[in-house]
Amino acid sequence: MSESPATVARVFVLLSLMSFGGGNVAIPEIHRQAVVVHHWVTDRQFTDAFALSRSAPGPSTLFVMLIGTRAAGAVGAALAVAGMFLPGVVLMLGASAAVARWEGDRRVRRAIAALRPITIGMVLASAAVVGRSAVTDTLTILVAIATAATLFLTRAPVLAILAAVAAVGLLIG
Amino acid sequence: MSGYIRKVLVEDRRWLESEEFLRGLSLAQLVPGPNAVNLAVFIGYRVHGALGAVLSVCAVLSVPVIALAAVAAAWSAWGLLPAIAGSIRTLGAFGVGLMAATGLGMARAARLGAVDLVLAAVAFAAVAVVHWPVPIVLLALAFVSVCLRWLEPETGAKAGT
Repeated sequence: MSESPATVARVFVLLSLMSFGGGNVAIPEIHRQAVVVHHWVTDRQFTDAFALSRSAPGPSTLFVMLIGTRAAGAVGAALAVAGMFLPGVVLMLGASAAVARWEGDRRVRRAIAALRPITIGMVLASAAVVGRSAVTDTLTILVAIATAATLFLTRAPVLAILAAVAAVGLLIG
Repeated sequence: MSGYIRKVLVEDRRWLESEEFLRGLSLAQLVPGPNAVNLAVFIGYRVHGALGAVLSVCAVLSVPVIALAAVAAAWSAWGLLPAIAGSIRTLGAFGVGLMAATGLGMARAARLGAVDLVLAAVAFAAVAVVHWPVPIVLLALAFVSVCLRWLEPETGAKAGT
């Protein structure tokens, strides 16, 4: 299965530009494009790729690299990652520069402050949405609560908790 | 991943104030693209301009790309690795706990007012309970919240602006 590199690049740039709110927002559409429209991967391969990206470090959206590999080899992987990440980077660079330049302005300061509660609500909502599929039995409920409580209430290092959780999963998962 | 960035940069190393982080994350959510990468652009730009932003994105993606490339090679060679199936489950739960702690930590640091708490609750409910699409909820609430803030009278400052 070898897709033209231009198609891979076009699909992922468009997916990137519609992911307002974070990479996870685009996942249903990535699924539609990769599985239903272009047949780059099967449904099962898509799910596996996403699960693998969650077990590796970094943003979960990086799993588009695996989809790109299936679509057009190494070139496809590079284009999928660049297409998914570059448009946001360019726009964010503009936004950061604009904020740095106009942050003395009262309206700009207030507008940014106005976004805070929504950001907080969205982060908690992502926890709930992902939790619905990832936290399903006693073990995962205990892990999620223990992780949240430890991080919220103590200064324990994240990597230590991550290592402990991975070990628990390997032993009794 | 944004949760981990906040924990290390704000709580452990104190490179950024919580307020500054929250501002960066708000922008990162509003601009299309993955939040962690957008956030890396914001923080890199703050520390060292455009060059800082580019370096920070490369740094934040390089290790994950290599790690995932290795996993991808194994994936095409042998199919899904059965050995890690168990830890995928607990790591998923870990991610949920981390996100919850991040949201709670930001709320604790931001000292939200009553209107803010209502907006945060509406954002949460619209996405987590009613399952409305995130982009629509985000843009609609951002509009409402910004309008409310702009209409609010200036406190403790001279009138007439």
